[in-house]
Amino acid sequence: MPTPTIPESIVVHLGSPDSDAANVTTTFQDYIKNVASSEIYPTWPEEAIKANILAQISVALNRVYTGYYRLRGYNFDITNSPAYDQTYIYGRDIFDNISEIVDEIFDSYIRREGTVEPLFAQFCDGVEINCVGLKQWETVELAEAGLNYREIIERSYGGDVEIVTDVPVENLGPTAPERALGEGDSGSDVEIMQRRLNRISANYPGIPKIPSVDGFFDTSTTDAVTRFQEVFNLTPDGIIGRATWNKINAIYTAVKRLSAITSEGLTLEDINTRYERELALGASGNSVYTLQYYLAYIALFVPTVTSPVVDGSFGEGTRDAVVSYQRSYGLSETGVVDEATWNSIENTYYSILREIPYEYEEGLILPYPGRVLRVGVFGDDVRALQEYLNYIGQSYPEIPQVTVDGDFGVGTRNAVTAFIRLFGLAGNEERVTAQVWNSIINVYDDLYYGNIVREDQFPGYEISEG
Amino acid sequence: MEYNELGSLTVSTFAADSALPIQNTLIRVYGIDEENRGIEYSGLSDINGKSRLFILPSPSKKYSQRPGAEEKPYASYDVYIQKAGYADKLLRGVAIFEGVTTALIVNMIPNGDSKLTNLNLESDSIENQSLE
Repeated sequence: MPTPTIPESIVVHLGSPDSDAANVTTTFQDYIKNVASSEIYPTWPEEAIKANILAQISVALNRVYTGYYRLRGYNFDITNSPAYDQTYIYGRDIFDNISEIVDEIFDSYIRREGTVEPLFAQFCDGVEINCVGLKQWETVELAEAGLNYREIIERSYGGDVEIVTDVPVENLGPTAPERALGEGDSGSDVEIMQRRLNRISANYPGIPKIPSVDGFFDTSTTDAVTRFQEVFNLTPDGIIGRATWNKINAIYTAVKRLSAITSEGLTLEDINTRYERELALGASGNSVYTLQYYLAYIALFVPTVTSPVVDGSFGEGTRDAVVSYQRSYGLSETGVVDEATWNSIENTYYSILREIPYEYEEGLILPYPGRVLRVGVFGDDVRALQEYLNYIGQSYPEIPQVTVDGDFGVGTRNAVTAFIRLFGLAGNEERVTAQVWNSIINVYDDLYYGNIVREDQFPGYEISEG
Repeated sequence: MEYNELGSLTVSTFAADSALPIQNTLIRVYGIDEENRGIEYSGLSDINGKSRLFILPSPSKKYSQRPGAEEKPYASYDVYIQKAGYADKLLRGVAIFEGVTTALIVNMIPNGDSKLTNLNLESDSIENQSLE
């Protein structure tokens, strides 16, 4: 078997294994912070807290590594029931010192010497319940007596255990550098962080932009990092240590995931799709595509709704997503999309879109507004469109500049047509369907954030940023 | 017994797994124990979705160091979260310990005509359960 790694995320069943309860997906660190905040008191001695957290990490890693629930046909990694696993209370309060300790040691676990598997480190409170393994209340006394967390763990699990550290972490982003980055440092790691912070600041306007994304950690970089740390409850020291690096990557991932799904978009036909017939396992086509897109978008906002693959084909993943939606919204959990379910899903999708403000902010990627934009239409979404086109037009002179007035007139239409022709899009050249919106914000995103322009977009001349 | 010590609380309101901060969320904090009933604070989340730091009375941490202490080692507060266009949230039994900052990260869900009836994934009470 391969050696254990720290998973990027973990799926937690909110009940005993066979209960009809929802699953939530959370990052591994957030999961452990929650468990620790639920199982022990934050005012305990630090060595006691560390020992408990290591046991909790080991329990979770054991379940993931051995596939304990997956192999038995369940679609989750662990439950939140202390009778089976350990306590996890979705949405609970997290204690800051516990949070800091988890950030330090989340990539460690306990195992028996000579084995690879994380120890299923049983624990109990040791007062109401007794057990073999760690007794939570006893760890307080041991720490007060001067034992460190290693000694507490050996006392609890036997002398033949060892603590593995620096376990590789599965990560959606680049791995953290060996040492912390601070003012005066330079290099590609700094540049990545500057770029990511700027992308995040488009959604979090209280975080100042870093004017030069050049790999030099200057004062404005320190300011952005410090503000980021304040917002996300990290020590606001302006230095990118491991905890800050991981958090920047996590927030960046969420931000990009939201703009990626919004840029998937729908074709004009999909938008016009109304309920036609029941959709169930085996169905395919535009209606299924629309259904999947709606659910994927909703899943970003509602943690108990799972996201299907958006491919137009109604398979198991789509059925699971439909069931998770039905459970969350009080509908009968049939896995079949009848008219009531369809209307509910569509309603929820548009109600979420309604809450996204359409004020254009430089660098902010807005989701498709849910209506086709063409001559005669006006509104904030048209204003945003005009801003995007003007920004793009500074690098692609074929696209004429337009007056930003929120009114889709002839000038805006001409700019839209120029964009559609330049980027070789199919369909009506005078309207902004979801597909066209999708292309526009992709080009805008690439230009604004200085990413490599995709090869199929290269128009044959040098692109300069506006 | 009185709550003679202090802890603190910070509340953040986000949507889409922290991709979007929700500003101008009304946050209200109420003491629910005998010792802190009558404590009431409120505030709005800022442009980054973050509330100010609420400094709140708590019991001494000495009650947390041994099982079966005569007093609960933390103070309990209810936190109400409201913003037009989003489902209201009530987080009951938020724990405040002496010298500890408690962070509430609240996932806000946009609320249309479809009511989220079955979203009971948040326990009615999020009090520390395991060590009672």
